[in-house]
Amino acid sequence: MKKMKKIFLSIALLTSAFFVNKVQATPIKLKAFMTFCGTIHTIEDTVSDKTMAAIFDYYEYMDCGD
Amino acid sequence: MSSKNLFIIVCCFAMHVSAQSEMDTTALRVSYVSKMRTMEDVKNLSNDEKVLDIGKHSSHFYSRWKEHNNAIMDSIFSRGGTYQDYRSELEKTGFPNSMTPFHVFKNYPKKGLLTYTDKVFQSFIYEEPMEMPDWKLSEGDTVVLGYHCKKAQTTFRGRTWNVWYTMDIPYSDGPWKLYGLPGLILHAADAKGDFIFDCIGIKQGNMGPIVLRKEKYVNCTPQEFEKIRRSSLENPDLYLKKIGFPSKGYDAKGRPIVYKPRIPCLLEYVLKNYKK
Repeated sequence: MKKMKKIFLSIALLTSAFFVNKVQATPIKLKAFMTFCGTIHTIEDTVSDKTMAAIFDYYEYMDCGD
Repeated sequence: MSSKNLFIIVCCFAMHVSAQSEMDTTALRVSYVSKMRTMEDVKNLSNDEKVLDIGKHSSHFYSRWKEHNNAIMDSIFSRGGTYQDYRSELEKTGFPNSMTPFHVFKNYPKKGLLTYTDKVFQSFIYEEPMEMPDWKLSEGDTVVLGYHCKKAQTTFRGRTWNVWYTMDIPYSDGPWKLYGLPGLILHAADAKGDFIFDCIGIKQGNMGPIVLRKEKYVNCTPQEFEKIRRSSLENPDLYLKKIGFPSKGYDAKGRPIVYKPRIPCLLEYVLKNYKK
């Protein structure tokens, strides 16, 4: 299970997880991160590292609060 | 230098000295372990270590775990570190993530005012007039950390609290927004068993200033903050999207997360009729 999570995260990070916004036809680069309870979230690559830390805290609360 | 410029410099210096003289420093540090229910459907209470710093005319109640992790974050990012550096340091030397990272400043920024800050992705802040709970002193005594304690009870903003306080430490203060007894509150628990604060240590001495953390805050009212807390739990992804951070979540098996609406378990209820 852990291996699967790692593989998923690695794919998300290493392949830079491109997808095409159909409206603007502009590729959007994504960042991915994993909470301590194992959930994975993706967010646009334009966010700063400090914002990433805040988003990580937010989802730690939402996903791992129990 | 013109006399006008000299006057401005003198005024700035006077304001600086005045601001310094108003800054309070911690004379007594009280540590509590806290157990708090974060959401109504959550069985286990969330652990944390809270600190009550008491100064001459103000006090500050906060999460020690969050402060420690914030210090790591500040240190990493001030040196140009990345999010990965932060996570890696957090895993090595950080505390568990505090689920209750609020701050309560009593008599701050001035006497009679309470300043509250909390985080729901962004940092929120509000000020409100200090409201002393209406205490009923009860029969019974016990000993906490070697201090003789007396019992008291109050119903405050939707919750009934039972507390033990000691007159041996003559500070009329306590955890969270509780205060107003003739001594320091060493144990507090709400009648439903959702929140417990237990004193585990008391230290005397000069332990730094009582001051609000410098960061970007969103001003709100207590009512607005309760609405924000509730709406974020109804749909976490939608809440972030509204602020401009659309994200997608996957569970440990790689399946997209579908959040079910949840209800926060709150220390206080300030909204009378909550509507979405």
